[in-house]
Amino acid sequence: MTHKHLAWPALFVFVARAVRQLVSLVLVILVFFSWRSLTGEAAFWGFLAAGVVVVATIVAAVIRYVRFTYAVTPAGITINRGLFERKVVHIPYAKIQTVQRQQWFFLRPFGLERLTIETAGKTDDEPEGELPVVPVTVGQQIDRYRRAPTNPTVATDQPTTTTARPGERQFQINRHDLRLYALTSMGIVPILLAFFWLYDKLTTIFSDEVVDDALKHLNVIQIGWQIALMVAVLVLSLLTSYLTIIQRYYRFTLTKKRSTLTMARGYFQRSRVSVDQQRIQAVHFKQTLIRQWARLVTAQVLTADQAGKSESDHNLVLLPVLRRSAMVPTVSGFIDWLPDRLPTIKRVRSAARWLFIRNCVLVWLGALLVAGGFIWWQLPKGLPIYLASWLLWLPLAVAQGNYAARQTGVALATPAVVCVQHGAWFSREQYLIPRRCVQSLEINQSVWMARRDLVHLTLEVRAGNDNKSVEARFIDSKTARQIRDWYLPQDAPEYQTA
Amino acid sequence: MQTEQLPSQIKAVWTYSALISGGVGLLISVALWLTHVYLNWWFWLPLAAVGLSLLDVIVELAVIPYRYAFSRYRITETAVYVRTGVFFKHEIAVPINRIQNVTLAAGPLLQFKQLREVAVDTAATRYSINGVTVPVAERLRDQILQLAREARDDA
Repeated sequence: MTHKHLAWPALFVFVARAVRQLVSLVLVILVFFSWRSLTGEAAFWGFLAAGVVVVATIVAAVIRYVRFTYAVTPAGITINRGLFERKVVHIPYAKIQTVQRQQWFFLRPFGLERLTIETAGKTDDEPEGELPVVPVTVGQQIDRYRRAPTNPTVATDQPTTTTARPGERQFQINRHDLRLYALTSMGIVPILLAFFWLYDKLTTIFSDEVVDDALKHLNVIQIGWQIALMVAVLVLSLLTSYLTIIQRYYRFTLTKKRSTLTMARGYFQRSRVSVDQQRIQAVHFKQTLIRQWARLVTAQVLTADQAGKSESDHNLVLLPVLRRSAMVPTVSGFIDWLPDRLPTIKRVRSAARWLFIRNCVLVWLGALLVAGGFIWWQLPKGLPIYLASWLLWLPLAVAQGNYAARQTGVALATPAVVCVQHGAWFSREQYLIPRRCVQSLEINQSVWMARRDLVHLTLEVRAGNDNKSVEARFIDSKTARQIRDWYLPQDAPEYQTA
Repeated sequence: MQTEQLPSQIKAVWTYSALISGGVGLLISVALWLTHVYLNWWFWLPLAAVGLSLLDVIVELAVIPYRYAFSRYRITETAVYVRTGVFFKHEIAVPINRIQNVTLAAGPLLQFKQLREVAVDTAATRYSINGVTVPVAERLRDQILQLAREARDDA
């Protein structure tokens, strides 16, 4: 087997990473220098030392590049790397959870891309295998080996049901839905926060006099202009958020080839993630309030690796936008264990609904009281207005609790898949979890809930390098016990509640 | 079929641990008293600390009989069950074929009372049985590992 080096642009990647590590050090040194007035001689030695550090870093990055080799063999992927401590990583194909291939537009003419290989290993925050810049043929080779039926370990891992439907299946989201999705996204909130943060930074960096001066100028400007400025900021944020999402999910295509699902997306950076459908731990459907009005759903999958770390919920996006009516039929065409339609979920009892509302109101009251104390302390004049606004907040709390109660429930979708649903902050979330992926089950009950015969049911699922607790709160204890009986191995003697 | 209760020595372990945490609280209170004397910090800080530590010890000691009565575990051919909690009751079920590894551990208090804590890890979470006698702990470990070997499926 031959060990290959990365493609030459990888050198820039290593240098860039090393420089990024240096930036904080350089900043500290600069602050130190600006704080103390230095003599010419000291400054000379200081800059010389800084130069030596920079050169050493670049040399280290070059050595890192030279030492980095990889080999793709029928047995697995081997990566040799490390500057002082030499590391050799072996990844057998049977243990790969996901492979990500990311290609920036400027690397497209060269046929180069970044490859990351994830396993279920929990030890590190980094991907288990990363090839920063390699020819696309490497990724194709790995895909071939992963699918190879001759590989005995792969063959035993896959149940025969997956081969029942051979051939390829593809789904591309249409432009209209993507536009609607981008418009209904909440992406504007972080961007507005970023603006406020920037404003805050500006006021701390510049002295008060400068800010006062600027504010005086602002006062001179007509009120109309101020409003225009605010509108411009708002429109700019909306546009940025809109374009970011369009760019991110540009031509999102989900492909199924035998048992492997591939999600491809992105305009500037085309990213392809591939995962075997048997490795999917759960499917997650999510609808925010606005998207419930637009009848759009996002479908995500939970996997046992970090491939979805950069996504919003740390889950891999299966399909960013889908019509609610087409949701289950579309996704079940790609994931064999998914049912063709969702089960009807029995709503919680009215006693439970009251508990949802009570808890929600209590949480809101707590937050309102803390905010009230703060206002009383800082801005006593604003207190009456603030108290009047409770007329708005408290009905909202009741509505939120009521919404959560209406969404909560659990039911079996098929004999092998459970469906858990809940609502938080007016967004509806549904989880479909195969029995084999439920790692453990908890039934929790406080002594006060015992009177009403209600329990919380929690299913623990592996997601990323951690666990995801999927919970249905205040459900009937009978329903919860039915789910537990379904979950526990058939030959288990009944577990008695003493 | 009945669930098993923890050995009665665990009550002594919980008592000691409550007393130790109370002692730590009192030490913190003394430190706060010194800050009052030498650094002129608020006077009510050490008083509050003493009150809180005493309350903590009293509640912990008072809850021990209930905690003992409500902590149960059971291991069958196919699954591990743990039940804990006095006011908030938790019933946990872990099928043996989801268990990735088993850890036996004992801090100084558990060692002193010849007890072990048994922890089982799944791919998602970890659960532990608070304290069992050494022979029981080793039997449980062997049983779980034996069953896990037989019931091995893909994780």
